Amino acid sequence: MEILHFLGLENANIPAQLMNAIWLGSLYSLFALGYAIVFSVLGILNLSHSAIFMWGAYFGLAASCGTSVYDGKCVELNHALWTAIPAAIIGGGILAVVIDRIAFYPLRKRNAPRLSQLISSIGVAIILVNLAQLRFTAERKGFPIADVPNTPINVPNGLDIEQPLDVARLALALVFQESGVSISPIQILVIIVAILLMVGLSYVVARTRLGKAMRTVAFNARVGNLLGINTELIYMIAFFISGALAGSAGILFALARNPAVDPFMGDSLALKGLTVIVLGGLGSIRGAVVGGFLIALIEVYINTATKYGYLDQAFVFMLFFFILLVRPQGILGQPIEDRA
Amino acid sequence: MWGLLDSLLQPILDLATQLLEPLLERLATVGLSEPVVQFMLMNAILGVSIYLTLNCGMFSLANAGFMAIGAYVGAILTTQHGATLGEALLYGMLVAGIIAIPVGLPVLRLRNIYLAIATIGFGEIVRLIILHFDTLAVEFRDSKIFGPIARPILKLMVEDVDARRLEITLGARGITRIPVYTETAHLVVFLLVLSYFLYRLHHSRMGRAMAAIRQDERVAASQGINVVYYKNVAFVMGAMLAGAAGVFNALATRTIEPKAYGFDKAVDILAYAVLGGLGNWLGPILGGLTLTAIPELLRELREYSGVVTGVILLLIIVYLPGGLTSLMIPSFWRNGGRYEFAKRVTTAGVVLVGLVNVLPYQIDNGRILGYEFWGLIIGNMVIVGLLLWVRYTRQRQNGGHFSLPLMGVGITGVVLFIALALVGKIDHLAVGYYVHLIGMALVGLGGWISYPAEER
Repeated sequence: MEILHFLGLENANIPAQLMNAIWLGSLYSLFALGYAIVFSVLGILNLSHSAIFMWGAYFGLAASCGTSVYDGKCVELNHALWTAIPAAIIGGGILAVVIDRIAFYPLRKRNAPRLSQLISSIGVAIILVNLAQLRFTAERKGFPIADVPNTPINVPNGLDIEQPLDVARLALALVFQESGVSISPIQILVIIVAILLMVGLSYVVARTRLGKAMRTVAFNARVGNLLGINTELIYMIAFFISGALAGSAGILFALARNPAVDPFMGDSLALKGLTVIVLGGLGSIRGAVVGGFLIALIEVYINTATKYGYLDQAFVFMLFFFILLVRPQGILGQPIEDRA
Repeated sequence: MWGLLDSLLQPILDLATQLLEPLLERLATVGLSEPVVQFMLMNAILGVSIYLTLNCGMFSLANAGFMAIGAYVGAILTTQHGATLGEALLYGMLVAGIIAIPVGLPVLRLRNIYLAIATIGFGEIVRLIILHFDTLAVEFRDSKIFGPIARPILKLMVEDVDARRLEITLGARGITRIPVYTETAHLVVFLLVLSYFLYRLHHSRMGRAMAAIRQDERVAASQGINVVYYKNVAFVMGAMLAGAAGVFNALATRTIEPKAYGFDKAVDILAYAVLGGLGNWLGPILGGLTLTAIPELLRELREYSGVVTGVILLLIIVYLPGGLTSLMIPSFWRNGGRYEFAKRVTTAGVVLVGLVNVLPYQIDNGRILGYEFWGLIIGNMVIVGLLLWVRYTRQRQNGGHFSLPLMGVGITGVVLFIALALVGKIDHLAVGYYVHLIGMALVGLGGWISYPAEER
């Protein structure tokens, strides 16, 4: 208990805050993974990633709400809520591939310096944010409040257990209540989807032929070419995966913070995502996951245990700054050459 | 000392004001009112501020942060202490420069993308600190350790340091009712002095050292150039310029808020430099002026100004990596650069024609062109298709294959459009018409440039 007092946590509901950190962290990790994949395979820092995140949310919203999203608020769902998730994933992936062809492919072909690619990605981000503003207006939109189950799970008043599912729900609710955790079905969904995608991705990268090819291209594109790997195809797949991750993060964020979809929803995450991958080590996939959870933990800690909650962003950036100066390769990255 | 400086500067400023008057009137007729011109000049200064670091091979995005520092110093000095523009400018630049030293020393050890993201982080920290400055100030004032240090500093900012709540930067609301001291003449004179300085810098020992560092840091170091020193000098100079632009900005707009100096502003500043071109100090000035003026000139496209900025940035970086100034530099014409240049001119023309054909249709039910839409849109689509086909099937360096058809298409287009206007088929000559004309002329020009007649 001494240590809790020292950390200023004696009054905090630790399990609840941990759960908070976990679901927020899985969102951050999901978002940062996309950054990390493109960076590791192509060496590009794709600053339009947050715009894809935002468009992913819009794709999802449009898929389940239909065209009513264009003009005003989404009043009722046209399709089931779950359709939003695959729509966001596929839409985000395709968008990322298109961005690659327009903004990065010509530069790659010309062997332009890396910084030009950074600048062109900034251009794409500006275009995408403004297009979203033109198409959907700057107004904040979201799913109909009633359709999104994001109130914390709790033990129902009337206990009528008829089906096995009810028993499971009740058990879950009891566990949460006993441990003091308040978590909504959507937050559980965020965690599950994030874990599924992360496990799937690490399986693909570590175990399959495609993953091997990706790692080869990441190591050296010319070597990949000599080995008969279609590098352009690998780039396309990398961009698709990155966009899909951004889109999924976008729609999950939109569901969890409903209503939260506006053209600027990616802005705060853009820099936070950078912090995550810098913390974990630029280009390191495992680092992005660890970094995401770490940043979420730090944020939640600052918000609950200190009186400087309003400064949580500043703390995160200070950390980011500090890590860049002291250990630019991140906590899990390899040593780098880009220092004098 | 101020009196002497004032009496020296005042005649120059008066002269500049007189000279500028007709020019400003002229510009106002095309939609560039005086505030817009002031913003153009400020952004030119900002373009130079990032050019100084880029010219030294450092990709720093910290300038928006330094601009914010300058703006807030200027605003606080004028509102709380009744400072003049000169004093505000001096202290704004000084504070930005002094803050840049401890930031630059560690950060400039990083390179490339690492430097870029570290400086993005710096900009965000500055923005957040300004946003929460008032709360933080109280916190520091009341703390036992930092109190003695914070008090005298805070005394410079507010009269009553012991008040329960301090109101210095006023959080997200920002500082309002800043006196308007900035005049166009000030900016013009500042920019002229700056240009002279840059011109001299280019040929000085320091300028050459910076260029050497950009080319290769290690080689420069091995030639006895103090890399760390020059990089920091460039960084501090860039910060001071950004601070100056911030002061001008604060004293021109009456109101400032931290939101205006975030990541978006940093990106805008970068866009000025990239658009103008980094090969030459004129580039960023030209870029700052142009990119600020474009949304004002294209009133019909006002709604799309964000998209236009993005598209310009993208097109320039993809098709004209040297920026606008690379069009003026003779080296472009050497080493087969002629064909590359022709290709870019043609592309620019094709893009313009294409944009006019696609965009206006959505803007104003096709009325932007001032003529029956569908008749011409089909014809133009055919032309654009032909041009794209020609442009992408040409594989060889030799431009001979496509220069004649291009010239033909371009000249026909221009003649057709002028004829349409003369015959009276066009009701009124809107922007779209001119853009169309320019696009076609560029296409023809591309053909002419690449025409392989002898050694040209």
